[in-house]
Amino acid sequence: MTHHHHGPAAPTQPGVGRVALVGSPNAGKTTLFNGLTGLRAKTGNYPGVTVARYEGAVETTAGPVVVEDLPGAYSLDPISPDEEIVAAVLDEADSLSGVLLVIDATNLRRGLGLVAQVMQAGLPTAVVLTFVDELVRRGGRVDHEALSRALGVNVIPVVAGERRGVEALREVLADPGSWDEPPFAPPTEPDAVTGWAGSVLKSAHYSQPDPDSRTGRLDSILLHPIWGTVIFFATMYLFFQTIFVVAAPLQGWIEEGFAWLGEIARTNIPIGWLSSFVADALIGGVGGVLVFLPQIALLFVLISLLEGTGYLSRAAYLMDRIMSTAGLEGRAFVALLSSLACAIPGIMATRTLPSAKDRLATMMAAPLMTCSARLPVYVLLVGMLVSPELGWGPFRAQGTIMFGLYLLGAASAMTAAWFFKRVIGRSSVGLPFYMEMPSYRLPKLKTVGISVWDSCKAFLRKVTSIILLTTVVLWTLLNLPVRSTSDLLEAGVDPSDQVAVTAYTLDHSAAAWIGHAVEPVFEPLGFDWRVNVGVLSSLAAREVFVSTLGQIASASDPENPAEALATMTHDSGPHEGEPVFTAPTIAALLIFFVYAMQCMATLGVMRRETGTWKWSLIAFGYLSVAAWLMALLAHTVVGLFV
Amino acid sequence: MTLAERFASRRCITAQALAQATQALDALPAGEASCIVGFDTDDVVTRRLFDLGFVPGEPVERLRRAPLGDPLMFRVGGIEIVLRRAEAHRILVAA
Amino acid sequence: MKSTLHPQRVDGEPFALRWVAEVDLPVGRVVNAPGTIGPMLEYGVLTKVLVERGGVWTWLDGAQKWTEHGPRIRDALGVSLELDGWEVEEGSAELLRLIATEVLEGELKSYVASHGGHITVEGATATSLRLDFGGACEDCPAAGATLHDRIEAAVRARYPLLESVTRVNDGHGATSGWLGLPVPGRGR
Repeated sequence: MTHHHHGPAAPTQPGVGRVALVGSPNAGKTTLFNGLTGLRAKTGNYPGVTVARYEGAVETTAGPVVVEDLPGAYSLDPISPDEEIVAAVLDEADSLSGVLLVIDATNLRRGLGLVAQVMQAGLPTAVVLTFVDELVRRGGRVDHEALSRALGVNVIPVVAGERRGVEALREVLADPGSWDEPPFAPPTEPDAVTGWAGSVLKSAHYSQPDPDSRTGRLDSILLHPIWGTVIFFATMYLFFQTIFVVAAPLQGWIEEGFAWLGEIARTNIPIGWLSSFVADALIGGVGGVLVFLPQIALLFVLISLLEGTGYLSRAAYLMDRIMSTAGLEGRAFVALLSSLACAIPGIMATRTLPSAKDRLATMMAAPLMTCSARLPVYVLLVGMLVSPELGWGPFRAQGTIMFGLYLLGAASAMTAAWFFKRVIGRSSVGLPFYMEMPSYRLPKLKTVGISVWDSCKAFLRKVTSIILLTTVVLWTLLNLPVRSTSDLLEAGVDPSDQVAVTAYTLDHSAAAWIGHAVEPVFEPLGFDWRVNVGVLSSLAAREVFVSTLGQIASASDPENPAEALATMTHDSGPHEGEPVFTAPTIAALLIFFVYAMQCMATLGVMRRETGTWKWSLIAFGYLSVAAWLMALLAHTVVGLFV
Repeated sequence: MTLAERFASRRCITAQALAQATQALDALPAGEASCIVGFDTDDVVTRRLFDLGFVPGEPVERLRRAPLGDPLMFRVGGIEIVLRRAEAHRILVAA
Repeated sequence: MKSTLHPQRVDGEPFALRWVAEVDLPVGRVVNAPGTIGPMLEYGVLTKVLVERGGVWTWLDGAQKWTEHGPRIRDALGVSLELDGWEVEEGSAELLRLIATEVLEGELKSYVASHGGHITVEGATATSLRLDFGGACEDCPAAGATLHDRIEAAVRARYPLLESVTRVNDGHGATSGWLGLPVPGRGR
């Protein structure tokens, strides 16, 4: 029979207990965690739709207690990375002073299966019963006091939006050592646990809720074979309209704000190199990237709204068949959808995928989805490629090309996923696809707010670390070595001619040397050394490409260097004197950006999610090769037509 | 033994142990209900289906299928849950 | 066969467990049981077994641990309850007292408290029960009668041999309110 370790683990240090929140997905665990910890949760992650491993201090009557929000798990017999974490944490019994089990009252029978498994860990355990209000609304009932007696543990009912339950929990959290303790753990063998659960439910006077009529009515429309499909596409259309249209004026203001700051720096800092450093590198670099903040915030508002209402699960259900053509499942759609803003939340969202193979395949595909960092690059290059006037009726050539780039990204992502799904590992047991359809609910504004705040915070951290560092390094490379007046005179440059000095410094800078050094690699794509510097700098983050070209072209407006760039010519080599930005070269650049893995933050997240640099290196390698080959193809094909 | 190992040693009811006539859950017509009696084989997928609420003895109803034919949506134990045909095929219900 | 049962602790008796289960046996003390419960009782792993309608009370030997024997006793009981061969000494004052206490501390606790009272078991025979109605309900005839009926019904459902429930006349009033006067809301 089951071997059972007993005796509660002592808190790691007296006074500071550590309690884990365990529960199945959709049981209201995250809402509860937010209610307990507010904004004091610690996390280094972008939260996608999935729950990362958070922890936060909760003030109780006996001082602070650390609450750890474990990922949602249906069972401790793990088949996904999330559930492995939960089982592993509960195995490390010594590090925990108690477990708070969050159980959905509308589905208590299944919840008791998890209760039985968690009790096997032998830790002090208490049950938080959520959605009791919904249970009653749908005609079910439960006597939580009788349930507590039957389980032998404390049962605390909480009602969403009511402070009372959360306050009661605070009191309970104060001392896990004093919680009621069952005499021994319930059985977990299927037959035995079914009997145990049946007996407990009967003692608790439990009656199951009627099916939610509101959800039934909504589903009959939203999942209708025809209307459901129409509504799905309309929702996706609105989704992107909001992200790109609503964000535009906000982005405009941020741009103007930074341009104004840059101007102040330029006019008020008397030392030439310092004013250039502050205006171009610091303000220009950070501003060029901060422009995406409204988009990222909006994306997270929309995703957490869709998640909170329950529609995201329906979208995954509708898309499952299509995703299965790439060997993936419906939930991978959500991950790829998030990747349209940024691959990082997309990669984090793969945690909801139970299959490790699916997870890796989706991760390898996510960087191909057109993330918002590519947008400014596309806008710049497409603007140089075709004029805004070109078009047929309502279809503008620029818009069509942009749409084509998004489509190319998505198609490439699906292809990559399909490829990796076939290549990764030997075929193991086909893991099941299952997805619970939550009842439609009104999203909790607090949950939405916290999700948006966390993601914006993480994005700002990225801006102030990786991107700021890159722009500073780049500025340095572009402006070093410093030329003295005698150097300039020797080279025949008039030191009083500012433009000539800048041009000379740039042409003989460290960056130029690097740009020239990699010329053999990029020469077939039509890139000159200045484009090479831009491409290399964008390895840190794609959006840096725009400001780099701006710095290089010495354009008056570093954020809109199109004018200066359009007239740029090759200054050396066999094409000397010819324009750099010909149609084939622009096409090659665009296609290069569709494929290239130019985001250090994404590689970092891949490493963190897979636990090894292997997959980051594979992603970097395959995407770099694909980018170069596809760009060459684009250069050649477009070259045939012009 | 870790918790995960312990739960991986659980065993579910399979077809061999059943005396009654059964049909696979994916064959259940839309809008109809039946009673779960067991599973076709016993492995990690079966245990997961059990943990999800597909418990022998429980009634299950097929609600609808997705526009492209797969997956299928069921109601079991007070929840609505989506399975692909392949997984639904592994659950046996009373014929 | 799946055994539909679960254990509940008994207040103040760490070695006792009440197993909630479908039981249709005479109520009282078990002399001999079928299956492995019989030998457990015989060799003293279990020192005492009582049965009621809807449950079995077991006492574990004081030197043993529930964490060790609990799962085994659960499985054994699940099997034994399906078998014939139970020998029960019908009627037990101890069992009646336990059931009454459990009803008052369990399913009727919040109901009793809502009447501002705290009721305790004063004494029991194999067929009768004496209760001490502490608190406000003592002087409230209507509420008292309802309460009396509910308690009696709840106990009888689990112990059909119950014939009468009487109330102790708590004459001096030392335990019920101030100077014998009812105190509203006491015990809440």
